[in-house]
Parts: sequence; C-alpha cells; structure tokens
Amino acid sequence: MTGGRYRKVVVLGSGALKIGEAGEFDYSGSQCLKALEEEGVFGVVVNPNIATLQTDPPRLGRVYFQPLTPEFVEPILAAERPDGILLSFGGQTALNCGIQLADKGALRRHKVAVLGTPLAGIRATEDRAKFVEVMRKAKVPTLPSRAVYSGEEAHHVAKELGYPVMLRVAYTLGGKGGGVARTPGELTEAVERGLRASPVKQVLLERYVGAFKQIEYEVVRDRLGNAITVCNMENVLGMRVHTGDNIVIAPSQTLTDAEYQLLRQAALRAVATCGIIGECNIQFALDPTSLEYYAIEINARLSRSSALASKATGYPLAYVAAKLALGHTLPELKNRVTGVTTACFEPALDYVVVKLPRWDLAKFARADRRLGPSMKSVGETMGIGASFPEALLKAVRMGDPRAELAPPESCRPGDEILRDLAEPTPDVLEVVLEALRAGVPTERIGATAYIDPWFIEALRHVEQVDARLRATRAATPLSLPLVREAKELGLSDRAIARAVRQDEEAVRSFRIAAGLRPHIRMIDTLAGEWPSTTNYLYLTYRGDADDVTPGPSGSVLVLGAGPYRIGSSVEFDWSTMNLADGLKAEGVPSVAVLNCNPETVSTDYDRSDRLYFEEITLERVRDIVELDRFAGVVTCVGSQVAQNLTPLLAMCGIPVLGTSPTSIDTAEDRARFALLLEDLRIPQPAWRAFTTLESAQEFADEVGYPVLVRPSYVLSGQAMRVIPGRHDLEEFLTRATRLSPEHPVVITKFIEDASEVELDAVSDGDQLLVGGILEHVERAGIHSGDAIFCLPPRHTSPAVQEALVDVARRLARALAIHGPFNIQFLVKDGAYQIIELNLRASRSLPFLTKATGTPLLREAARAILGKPLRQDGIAPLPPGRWGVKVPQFSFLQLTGSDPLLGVEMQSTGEVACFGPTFADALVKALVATGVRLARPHGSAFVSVGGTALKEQLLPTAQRLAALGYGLFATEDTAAFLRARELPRVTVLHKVSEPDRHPNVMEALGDGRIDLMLAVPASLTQEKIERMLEDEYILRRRAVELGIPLFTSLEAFDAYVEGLAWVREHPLTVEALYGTSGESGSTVGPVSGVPLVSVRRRSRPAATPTSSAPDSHTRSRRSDPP
Amino acid sequence: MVGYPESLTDPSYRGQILTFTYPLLGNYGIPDPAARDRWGLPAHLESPHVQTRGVVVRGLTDPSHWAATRRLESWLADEGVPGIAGIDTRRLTQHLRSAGVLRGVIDVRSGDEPAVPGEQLARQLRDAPRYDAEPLVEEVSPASAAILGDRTWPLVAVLDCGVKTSILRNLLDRRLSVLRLPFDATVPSDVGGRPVVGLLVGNGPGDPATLAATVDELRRPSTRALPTLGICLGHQLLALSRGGSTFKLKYGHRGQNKTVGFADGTALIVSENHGYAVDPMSLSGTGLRTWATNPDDGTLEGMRDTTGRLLALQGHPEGHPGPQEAGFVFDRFAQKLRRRAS
Repeated sequence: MTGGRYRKVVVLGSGALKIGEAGEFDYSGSQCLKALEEEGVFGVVVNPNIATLQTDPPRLGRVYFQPLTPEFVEPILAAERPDGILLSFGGQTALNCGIQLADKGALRRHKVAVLGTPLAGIRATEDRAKFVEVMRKAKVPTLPSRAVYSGEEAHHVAKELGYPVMLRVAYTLGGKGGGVARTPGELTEAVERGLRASPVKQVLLERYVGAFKQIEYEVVRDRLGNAITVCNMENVLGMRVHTGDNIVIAPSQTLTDAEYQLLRQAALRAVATCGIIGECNIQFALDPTSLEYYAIEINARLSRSSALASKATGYPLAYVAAKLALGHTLPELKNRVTGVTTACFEPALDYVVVKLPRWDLAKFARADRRLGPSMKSVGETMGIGASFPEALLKAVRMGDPRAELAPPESCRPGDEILRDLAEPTPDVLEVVLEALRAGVPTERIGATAYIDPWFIEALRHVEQVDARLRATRAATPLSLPLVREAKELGLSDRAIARAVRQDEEAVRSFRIAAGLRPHIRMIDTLAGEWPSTTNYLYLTYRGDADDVTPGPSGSVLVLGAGPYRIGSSVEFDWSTMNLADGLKAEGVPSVAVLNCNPETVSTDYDRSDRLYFEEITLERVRDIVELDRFAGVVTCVGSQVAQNLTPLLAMCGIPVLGTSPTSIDTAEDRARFALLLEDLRIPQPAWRAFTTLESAQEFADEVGYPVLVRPSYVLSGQAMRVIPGRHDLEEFLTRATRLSPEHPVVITKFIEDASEVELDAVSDGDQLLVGGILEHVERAGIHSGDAIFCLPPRHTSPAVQEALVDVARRLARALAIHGPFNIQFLVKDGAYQIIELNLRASRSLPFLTKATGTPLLREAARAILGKPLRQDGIAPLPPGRWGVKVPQFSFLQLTGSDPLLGVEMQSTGEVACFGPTFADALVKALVATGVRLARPHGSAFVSVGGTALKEQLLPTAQRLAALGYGLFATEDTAAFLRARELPRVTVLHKVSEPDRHPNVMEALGDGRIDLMLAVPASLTQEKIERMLEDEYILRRRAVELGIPLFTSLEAFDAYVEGLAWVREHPLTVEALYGTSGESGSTVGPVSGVPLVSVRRRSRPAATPTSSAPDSHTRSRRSDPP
Repeated sequence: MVGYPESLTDPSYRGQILTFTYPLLGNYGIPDPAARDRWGLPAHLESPHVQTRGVVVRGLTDPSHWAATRRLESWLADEGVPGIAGIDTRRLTQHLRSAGVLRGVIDVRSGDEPAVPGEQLARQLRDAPRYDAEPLVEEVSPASAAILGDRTWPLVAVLDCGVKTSILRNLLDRRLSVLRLPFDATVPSDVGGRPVVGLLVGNGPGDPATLAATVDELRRPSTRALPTLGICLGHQLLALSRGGSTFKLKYGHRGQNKTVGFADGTALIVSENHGYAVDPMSLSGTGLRTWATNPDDGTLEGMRDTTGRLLALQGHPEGHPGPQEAGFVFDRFAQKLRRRAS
C-alpha cells in the first residue's frame, strides 16, 4: 500500500530520561524502528540517550548521538536528505524540536515531510487557544478559564466560575505561583503572589475540578479517518493528582456504559477534528455525580499513557502508529497477537491492570512530598490481576520487592489521618488502609482523598482479610479458605506470614501442599475469544488452569530490573535485552524475560520467547520457575533488584547462571571482600563496620575526617553520607540511622582530592574483555551516576590503567567471574584503591559498548553459558574518538529540591555524545541535557570557600576572564580574585543580607548571571546554618531560572574548557554508526558517514543558548502523561 | 467491561446463560430499573426485565455510582435469574471457543440445602428444551401493537422480535414515531390515516429460520416497498425474505469491539450479539449486495438492495452497550423517510 513511498525517515528520540519523560520513549522509538525496518525504510535516529535500545547499531539506518535541538538536527537533515521525519515517538522533546524546525523553515528547506499527524494538528493540541477552538468545533466541552490582571478582576471571575478555582501563572518555571483557592480570602493572597511571580503580570483562573474523575483514552486513527480507542484508563486519585503520579487502572472501573461511550465518542470527535494520524492520548475530567465532562488536553504523540496502554492491552500502539504514519490504514494491518484478526478493533481485557508510580523523593533533600498537578515520580510498575487488589498489591511489590501494602499496626486519631488524606503524598494508599482500620467511613475517606468509594471498598477487603489473618492464633493451623482468599486478593506469602506471625516458608509449604498455586495466563487482546499464540504472560490466583505448558528443556529466564528509579534505569533494560539476545544467539532454545515496568522495551512481548509481566520477588520467581521448569535464571543484568535475589534463589535450589552466588556474596559482603583484597594485595581505603557510636567515633578519629558512612548492600548511595567532623558523625548516627548488631554501619576513610575511575569488563573465569576505563570529571565524592565521565581517560596514566586492568584480571580469576562486572577505583598521585566491585552489568556498560562497538553482553552471554570468550584484552576505541557522558537532573520538576550533588545519586538519566576532542563531545552532551552555553561577554558568579579551593579556581577564573566573561563573587572570593589582578570582578552581597546592594538575588533576577559555580561550604569548613540556607537558595534559584549551575570545581572547569573550544571550533555532527547507503548491505560502524559542522556564526555560542531551555520553560508540557 | 445492565436486559439474550469475560461485575450497580423515559420506555435498560436465563461471572464487586439504586445480585434475585460467581470465565470462554456454544446448568440452592448430584444435573440438562426449539421470540415480542412518539412525526413500523429500547429511542430521538408491532403482525399501510412510511426490523433471540411468519410478511410486496432498516436478527430475516440463507456460527459474535469493514477500506467498531449469520454467497440473485463484512472471519456484516430502499446491518448501531459510530444509519434512514414523507 505504501509502495515504497518513503525511502529514508528521521526519527527524533527524547534524549535523557527526566521526570515526565522517561524510558517509555525507548519503547515507542524501538517499535517505530521495527515498523520502518519491516517496510524497508532507512531509519535515521537522533537521540543522545546512550542507554537506550533504539540507539543500538541498526540493521537498516544510522544513529546520531546529538542534542535534540534544531541547530543540531538541521545539519543531519541536510546531510541525510530524508523524505520524512517522525516527531511523535520522542515525547515532548521531539515534538518541540520538530515544531522549531518547522518554524525556522528547516523542514521546507530540506524538503522533509512530517509523517503522521500534520503540524497543524500538533499545533491544535499544543496551543491553548487553538485547542479550545478545535474542541468547540468538535462539540467537546473544555474547562472555562480566563486571564486576569488584578485582584479585583480575579474575584469577579472566580465568582463567575465558582469556588474553588485553579490559578495558573503564565510564563513561570515549574508552575511557580500557581495553586488552588477555595475561598475569596485564599484567592486574594494567591492572586497577589501569582501576579508578583508572573513576568507579564497575568494569572489564569480556571474552574478547579480536582474532585472530578480523571479518565484517559488512547486513540488510534489512520489517514482515511478509521479510528479506534485502544484502551481507557481511570486515575484513582482523580483530577487532583497528575496522571504520572496517579494510581491508574485500566480499563476504567467506575464508569457506566453511558459514561464510557460519552467520553469515547467525544474522544473520537476531538481526534478527528484535530486531524490526528497515528496515536494520541486524550484526557477528560468527569464529574463524579453527573454526566458533566471536559476535555483537558490531547497529546498528539506517543506518551507514557500510550506505553502503559500498549502493555495493558497487548496492542502495539507505537508500532501501529508508525505504520499509519507511513501511509497504511488500520484495516490493512493485522493484530500481531492473533496474527489473523485485524488491527482495527478494540481490545477486550479479561483482567485489570494497575499502574503505580515509583517515587524517589527521599533521595532529594527538601523536595515537597505532596502530590498535585506536577509530576514527581521517576518510574512506574504495572500489576496485572483479576481484581483491583490483586493487581495493586502486585504493583506495590513490583515497585519495591521488600514492600507490602498492609494496614499499620496501630492507627493515629481519625482527624490526623484525614489531614493526611486531604494532602496526598506517595503514602496515600497506606493512609487509606489506616483510615479503614481506624473506622473512618468510606464516604469520608472518599470525599477527603477524592477517591471513588469503589476503590476504597476494594481496599477494605484487604484490610479485613489482614485483620482476619491477624486473628489467627500463632499455634493454630492456617485456614485454607482464608489463605486462598488472601492469595486471590494478591497478598504475598510474606504478608500472610507476617499477619499470622509465622515463617514465610511455612506459609508457602502450606499452600503448595494444599494445591494452592497461581496459574499462568496469557494477554491476548481478545479475552480468550480467539486462539492466540502470544507469549505475553502473567500469573493470577483467580484461575483454574494454565494457558501455556512449559517451554523446551534448557530454557532460561532473564530477570529484568523493574521500575525506573534513581540508580536503576533504562540502561538495565538495555542490559536485559542485550543479554537475552546474546543467549538466544548462543543457541538457548527459549529465552524468557521477567519484568514489571510498562515503560520498557523488555516488556514488549515480541522481543523475547516468553514475557512474564510479573513481580521480581523470590516468591514469584520460584512460582514461575516451578511452573515453566527453567533450566536456569540470569540475575546479573537486572540491576541490584535482580542481583539481590541471587543468594535466595540459590538457597531454594534454583540454578543461577553466570558468576556463582558465593562469589557474588564475597563481593557484596564488605568483610569477606576486604579479606579477598588483602589476599590479592589490592589496596583499599581503611574501613570498618560498627554497631556502636563510640567505636565508630574512635575509628573516625584514628583515620581522620572526612569519612564516608554507609550501610552494606547499597543501591545508588541510599543513606550514604560524607561526614566532615565528629559532631556530624554523632548527629548522623543517632538521628538518620539506627545502629544495632543487625544494622551495622560501615565507615570508610574518605580520601579527598582523589579522582574516581571505573572499569567495566566481562570474564569467563579466565580471559578478560575490558570494555574500557572511565574517568570521572569530578573528584571522588560525587555519586558515579551523577558524575560526568569521559573516555578515554584524560588524567589517568597508562601505568595506572595497566594496573587497574591487572586488578580486574586477578579478581576475575579469584572469583571465577562468569559475566559482566564493574570496578570502581580511587586514584590519587599515581596510586589507586579499589572502592567497589559489582558482579553484574553496570550503568556504564551501554556507553562502553557503543563507544567501542564491542558487543560486551554478547560475550557475557557466552561466559554465562560456560563458553569461552572470543576476545581477550581491552576493547579498542576508534582512534580520535572521545566520548563524554553527562547526567540529566530533574531538579526543576521537584519543587524545593536542593540541586547539590553528593554521594547520593540524584540524576534521572544521562546522555553521551562523541567527537574528535573532549571539549567537542562535552559541549554537545551538556547542551543535550539542557545546560545552556553562557552567552559571550556574559558574567559568571563564583562562590567557593577556603583559600585552597580559591587557588584551584584561579586558572579557571583567568580563562573565563580571557574569554571576556565578567566575574561576580561574594566578598571574600572577590577580594581574592582582585588580589590576583583579575579584571571585571564585581562583589555581590549574600542572600541573607538583602539590604546590601548589589545583591546576588537581584543580579539573578535581572538575568545578569549566566553561569554559577557554588561549591558548598559543608565540604570545606564547619557548618553554619545561615550560610547553608544562603547556598541552598542560590542553587535553587539558579535551577529555577535555568542558569547553568556547578557545585564542583572540576565540572565547572570542564564547562569553561568547552566555552573556550566553541569559541574557536565548530561542533561536529556525525553518526556514530549505521549501515552504509540505504540498501542495508553492511552492518555495524561505518566510516564515510558525512561529517557536517554546525555553522559558526559571529556569536557561536549563542545558538544552543537560545534553544536549549525551551523544553524546560513549558512546565505543563514538560510533564506529559 | 461496561454495559452489563444493558446486556442482561437485551431480549436477544433470552434463554441464554451469559458468561462475562471481564472478571469484575457489578462495579456501578444497577440504575433504577423502574425509571421510564417520556415515551414510557425503560430509561436505563434495554427491556423492562433481565432476559438471560443465568449469569456467570468471575468476581462481583461492591457497587459505587451516583446513578445506582441497587446491587446487581439483588436485582437478579428479584428478577428470579440465577447467577454464579467465582468461575474461571477465561477457561470457560476458551472451552466455548473450541466446543462452540453449549448448554449449561446452574445448581441454585440456599446455603443449607444439599448439593444436587452431578448425574442429576446432567440429566436435567439433557432433558431441557433445545435452545433453537424454544419459542423465544414469542416471549419477548409484544402481544399487541402500540404507537410511540408525536402524532406529527413520520410513522415507522417496527416488527418487534425483541427490539432493544435503544433502537426505538434512536428513532424517537430523530423525531420518528414508532408503530410497535408483534413479530408476526401484518404491517399496515396506515394507522388511522397516518401512513406508515418506513420499516425497521430489529434484534431478537433465536434462529431466524424459525420465524416463518415474519419472513413471509417481509416478502409481502407492500411491506417490501417500504424503506427498510434491518438490525441484527432483522438483517438475517431480511436476507431470508429475499431468498438468502443463514447459518449458525460456532460461538457467535458477542462483544463491544467488533469490526465491520467496507469495500472502500474504511471500518467501524460496533457492538454485536448474534449467534447466526447470513451466508454472503446466498445473496447472489436476490437483489441484495454485500455492504460490509467482518474482516476476521469474512462473515456478512451488512447488506443493501439495488434500489437503495433497504439497508441492514448485523451489528448494533445503537450501541447500549458499546460504540455508536454506526449511528449514522439512523440518520440516513430518517432522512430517507422525511424525503418520502414530504
């Protein structure tokens, strides 16, 4: 039908993972590329997200690791001469970039057609006024809203709209100044605040519909106008909470047919009127007590919700959307599940799915925990079951395998509980259970928390079963009907064991002896009505039979990494799939994947032989292995979540493939690891484990402060802290942790001014394949996930590098490592110390694999199966190639959070760019994460404490001055710089001295500061409360204003090096790899890819400056559903 | 997933045990079953009573909805219709898929009564009348004729074999009066001087081939001359009246997600509930032409005649439950009648 209409198409990705735009776009982009490949279309991928599967070497196409801004994409259009561009597979980032390319005339200039929804349709959904107009045409109501410019006007309008009213402040970052006013009194105050915050002195008043139901539909439409709704979804916490932070259930549970169809027909009308071709999401607010409804917004692209809907139904939305964009029609396409029936149908579900967000707010100092209109979660899980509780309780354990959703042991007074319900936080479900146990009536809970009573009644069932279990006397035998009821409700063996005060294993044995086990069910899009052969599976206790029989003998189960979260993200999905593909290539008859994150490629059912969309818990893995009789389980690619199961699975007699559980335990148990290092004479920092404060203090005094304090079995630096002095140690150990024999604290000497280096490798127990040695730009003390790092190392000497490889080889042999591993080292003055060994795939593996073109996990698959590696030595980096990885932070989205980096990881994603020099790659990677390049002749604000640091700052400051930048500094720093004869140094007074001028806050507000270095005082001198507060306010303000902020001198210095570089050199735009020509005849990295350059203008750095922050200024759009 | 009050009161389900594939039922309770619209039709239901003989569900839930007046199970009890919960309905669906539609028995008893032995249940099942031998249409068709709607509106005859309320309401909403006739009635040329300008043959239960009287009436020249809209069973009866034939599907088309494909590459999603279908091959020489087909199994989904007078579709353009995109057929029908009336 398309008949080769398109030859080559550019696909824009979404860049680094950030709050509101996460790994779901790896799923949509990957499905899109699959569709292009099927059609023989050459796909050109632009995406700097190094950890994605969509940027792996393509079978037909090329991959550019470049910022998603018009300045970088236009040269690609010029060089590649594609006939089309796809904007709807890379989230808001791709859509924004596409709109800018169109606005700048780039698409017209290069004769590139926008495939799928035309630009006019995209604009109709992006521009508020146009949206209202189009919805009016479609006869779909929108929420009345009005702009006001004064308090008086506001009261007038609010009276008209009716209280409460929602305030939105135009053109402010992060929705600052917005909120809800319930009374005229609140309105007066809110409008005053809003007008002050608004640069155009305008506040938008809207009717507040927080208590309305929030219902979404996923709509697919083709060029002939054929349209279907694939799925609808209901948000349990109503309109009040952003859908990204909401508990979402599919299909909707509390809608009647009349309501369902009312909204469905409105969705179809709205989408047709916008002219959508492909996929979109439409969101409605529906009155819980009438048929009144409003369309809130349309996302004319794949989204988080569409990824969820795909996984919830088995309907491959992104794949179909890509096919439709290429010109196919819905009836032409087949339902990929049955292979026989048409894709033009609406899936029928015989189960429910519950999406639960994964928040990591505890990782962010000062972050506001309340849930509301802006998104704060970093990932999500999806539980599948036969009832809301079963699916929900699964989703809870999917989010954290240690978690259980159960009523608390004791309840607080009702009014306290209600106060919490009125301002929901991530704990809202626990609070509902507490309210139920405390006897708060359902209606009261519902009215306070804006939760439909249907959901509360379902939770009441959980509360009651828990109570009945607790009433079981410890010694009496368990009641089978009660245990069955509990299992059908989704309770884990562990939750039952806790309630009846028995051992978890006893509960398991009891139920298995009674024949009580879950059954395997298939997601087949047609509720069992048509025979299907899909391998998309889940388990439920509400069933009598399995839909599948065990796979062929020798089958392997690969454990995925669960939800995206700080410290474990899309890189582990990449690892899971690369390893699964490797196992398959090595002849494993059937490779199954277990994962529970709907935003991933690994949960795409046609990527593996069998997909278990299930909990990554011991109980569930055992169930699955027993039912499907796997020959072995792989735990080394699913981050710490999978790795933590290794010893437990081994104890249950389940074969864990790869490095032996004993070796893993040796690496993870600090004491045993230390002994091994001593045996091997590998240096390590002084450390010891403590169970009392006194002994801890004694040790710290002995080795000298600062010290690093942390628990064993760490995931991404949780609760880890650098302690500068004796007083702080006491405070931390008594307040932030509990010291006991079961919870020892490990204290390590913290080595200052050391650099941190990582090594990733694969071993078969004898040979060693090193992926590379990565050097952190920042000094040790910044979590490796938050550090900028580069390849090859800039400062680590060849001798040290050789020594590190030798350490890796000795460890690989000593521990008989079979598979991937990662070592972290400290290097100082030519000497090294080992700080950590991870016997699993690491975060940096995709970067090294892509930079070197060496398929490290393919080799790891061989090692895991006991075969020898095919390569030994260090993976060669193509000569002249530099790669730089830069973290992506989401501080702006997290109201109040402190953007200070430390040993706790806080970044939500990362990018990597490549180039002929460090500076070239660095600048592109920084721009790709939204860091602006300071405008020429602008000014930098620098604030560092202590003479030593000031001395270290000097060369960088001189370089800045030489580049023509002015310097702002606080009194001490300014005096120091002036003494060293730096020109144009201006004193700015502190935040806490608002009466002294010129003040730093004024300078920030007036846009006079283009760049900020704020090295925290806490690392360099004793804490002073007010000073800390000053520093926090400065950092926070810089983030809110989009000013590049550095809290480490080394990263700042690297940035300045980048500024100097772009002054003299154009930035390169080059594909990292791809197939040559458009025939797809060769695979792998190719030379001969056209090298184009961003044209240098008279003010070279100005280009990225003007564009990069755009995606951040649109706060509503930066956190789409 | 939604629409159980509508499905349970759909007369087409008369005599059947209905199994729901969606595992939760009763979420939003039952809206007031006694509520009537301005024409005296049930306001929320497709007929005044539950029509199924039994209901099979996996799980029942506690209802919550502003329009609910009662729980599903208590309504069924009042209606004297048994139901069973806790059944693995997916397994049952798979069984029906391979075995075809089956007869079933539900053992209904109060808690202290002993269970009926399996052999006895099997015997009762064997002795029960066959589905296609039961006079189901007679049970759901009105005993006498009635007129609904405004006197000034064009009058449409409806041969009521168990027509759903929503089909009638779709006519009334388009300012068409309804002459509701028993299934075996003769369509009059006028009622008290008001001419009958169109004919609708709607849905109903059972095998169309057993409804000889209705088929004969549809063959009568004056009836045949009327602009006609056929829906579901009506679609099948009209095919039979023109010389086509019907057959029993293995397990029917039942659901709100069925696809209807047209020759020009467009398609619609409709709600369906039928166990019999028209054999498209049998249409040759009848003056009827294929209008739409089911892309999954190639069965006939719609037909029209060469004169433009007749349009029939197998699915339900009125939805309730389900999609209403095919509602345009009512618009076209109404336009045709108005043109004719004026």
